[in-house]
Amino acid sequence: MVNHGALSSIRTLEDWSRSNSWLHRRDPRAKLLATLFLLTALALMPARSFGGIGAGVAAAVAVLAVACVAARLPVLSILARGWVVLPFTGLFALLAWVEGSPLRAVSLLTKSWLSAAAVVLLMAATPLERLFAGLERMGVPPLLVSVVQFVWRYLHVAFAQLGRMQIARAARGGEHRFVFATSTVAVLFASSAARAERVHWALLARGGEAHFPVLDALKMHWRDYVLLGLAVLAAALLVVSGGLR
Amino acid sequence: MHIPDGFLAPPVWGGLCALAAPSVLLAARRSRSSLDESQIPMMGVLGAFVFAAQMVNFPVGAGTSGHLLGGALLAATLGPAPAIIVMTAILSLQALIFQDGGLLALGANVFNMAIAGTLAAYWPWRALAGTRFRKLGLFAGGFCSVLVCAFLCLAELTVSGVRFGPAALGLALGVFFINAILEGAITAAVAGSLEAMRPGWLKAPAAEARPVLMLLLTVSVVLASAGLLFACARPDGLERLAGMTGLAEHERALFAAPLAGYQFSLPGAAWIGKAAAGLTGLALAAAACVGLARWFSRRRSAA
Amino acid sequence: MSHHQPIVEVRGLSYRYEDGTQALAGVDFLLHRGERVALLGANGSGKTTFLLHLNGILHGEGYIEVSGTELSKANLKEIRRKIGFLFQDPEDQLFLPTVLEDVAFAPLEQGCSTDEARERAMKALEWAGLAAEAHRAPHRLSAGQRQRAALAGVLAAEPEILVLDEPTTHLDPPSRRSLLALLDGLSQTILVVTHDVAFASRLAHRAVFFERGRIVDDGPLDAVVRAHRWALD
Repeated sequence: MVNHGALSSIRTLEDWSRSNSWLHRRDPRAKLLATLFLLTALALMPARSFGGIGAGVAAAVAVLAVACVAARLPVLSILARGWVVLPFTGLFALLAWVEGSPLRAVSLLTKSWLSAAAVVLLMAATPLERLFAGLERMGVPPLLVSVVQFVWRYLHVAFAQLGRMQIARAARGGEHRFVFATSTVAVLFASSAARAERVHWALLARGGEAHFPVLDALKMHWRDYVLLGLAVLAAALLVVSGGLR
Repeated sequence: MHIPDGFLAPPVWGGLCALAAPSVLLAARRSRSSLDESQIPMMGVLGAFVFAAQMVNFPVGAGTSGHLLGGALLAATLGPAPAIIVMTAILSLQALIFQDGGLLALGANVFNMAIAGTLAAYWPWRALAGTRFRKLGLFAGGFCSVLVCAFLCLAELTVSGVRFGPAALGLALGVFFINAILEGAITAAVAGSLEAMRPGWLKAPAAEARPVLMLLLTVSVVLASAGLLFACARPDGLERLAGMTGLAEHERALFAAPLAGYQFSLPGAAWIGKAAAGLTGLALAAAACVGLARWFSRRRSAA
Repeated sequence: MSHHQPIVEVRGLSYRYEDGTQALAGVDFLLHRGERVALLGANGSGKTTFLLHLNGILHGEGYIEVSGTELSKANLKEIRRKIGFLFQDPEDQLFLPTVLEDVAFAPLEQGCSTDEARERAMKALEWAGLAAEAHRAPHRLSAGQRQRAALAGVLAAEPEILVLDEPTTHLDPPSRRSLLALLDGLSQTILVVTHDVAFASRLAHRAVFFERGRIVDDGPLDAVVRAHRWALD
């Protein structure tokens, strides 16, 4: 069945991204770069001792907490969402523990958790369309950005249709069988293709091609550079603290 | 198979980003030249379809179920370059919105699934599309895409120091093999259903002009992947590379420092840092290949 | 309120699908400025196919003239500016991340500056009662709100003719009523394809009846509905 839980949690993320704060008002490019600095710092943090890992985690949590306050977002919720990586990571952490490197196991868990939380914060403090506009300005091919926006837009439509089809099949007493799943997917495909044609017609009727004009042009202010500077400092802090014994 | 952040060594994800970026640029350029206007909504809506379809359970008995990855289906319906773009879009959204796969690791995931996976799906289909064995072509496409993807994933994790005991490795390979078969079966089955509804939907790519670019891209990807394996197998890669490029002693140490924290050692050799740098070198070489392909294509279209 | 020069003139329009079915078989149609006409007929009788020819999305054989200009490949953009097309499923129409951006799409395409476009979009949204939803994503709106947002987007382009394809299909009675109220206040010439006879009778005075790709009846709405037993009672 379709994961409705995932979609409803997206709603919260969307609502968060629409609120207003110092961090929300920053240029999306600055926020993306700042996030990448932090992620790189997390990746470079050495894991030589439990003390070092602990110090690194404390520093990272502190940095994220400060950022959450600047974004007027709930710190614990954001951090908790980072644990979505647990299934995959937990498996490898277990493997590492069993193979005799407990340091690595803990390091894997903490790094992936904190990295995911940082991305959640980025998405919670940036409306999607601003992020896409920023990506396009940073050199991502416009075709890719357009496709991403389209996929996002029609994701909900596809999920809704899939949900309806599955409910209808269950209501008719249909068991969960391979053949049914196949035909469901095939029908979804055909329906999507038909929809794509209609979307294209609607675009033609409005006289346009499929592109995504931006209403509020992006401009870097001095505050955005301040954010970048702070991010670099935070990144340095993380790497240094991780090296403590 | 979406690798989160925190797993891959910096040279690995850095190198793969360096590989993925020009490949995606090339695919975008190629898509633009072969597309007509109406393809963008089609790419987007089909991308949404694949995203949703990835969530469907295909029961295969004994309480387990498989899932569709969709690379082969996209490659067969849209062509390889648009399929690469759509898969990249899907992976990007999965990383950003669902934290399914890391942001730094996006380069690696895109390389594995969107680029290598799609190309691995495309060539078998292309080879068999015009013949009686179309269904087999689709099956082979799906099969190869998952296998290549899984293989790369394992190799990257291994190079980054994740230790697999023989039992775990065997289990992982077994799971991947089964998933590959499932992908092939599901792709062929869905395509069959589609053909029944609308005959002629899956166009045989016989008329596709200039597969040269895709061929060059595939060759680069194969080279890079081979390099990855090479890095796994030959411990002294970094030493030789560093010696060749004349890196000073202390610079080498600095480069290796971030990796010192990854306390790994495959049986017998402390070679990961060295392997990683070797990989980076190969990544640069592969990037040069792709750059050459782009220059080549620009010259061609100017002519 | 009709003038001598028809705003839309169609002569001998025919169209065949790829699989060979004759969707339209020689349609003649005249529309005058300010008129409101309902297109009735069974599913598959050619109503929507006919509409898609008016703004050149489909290309059949025959003569089509819109607002004094003959339809041809060269002037498609101009014609599409004059015809505002509201598709049946607003999901197909609202493709941008927020409602405001979507409604501003047409003005931007027509060459307005971002400020002008935003102003026109906000005005259209206020008219549609959606000013508060300007920064919402389309998938967060109800079906009725999406319909009105799509309508606002179409009207922001300031067309002369408004074409609606089965606008009340997904709407509940209150939404139908508010759509009707909105449309009633417009000065544009309106063409509406619909099965909703009650809706049509409150909006349009004239109806044409399609049957197997031809117009077989054209006259006052009540008469046409009665003649073809198109109402439930």
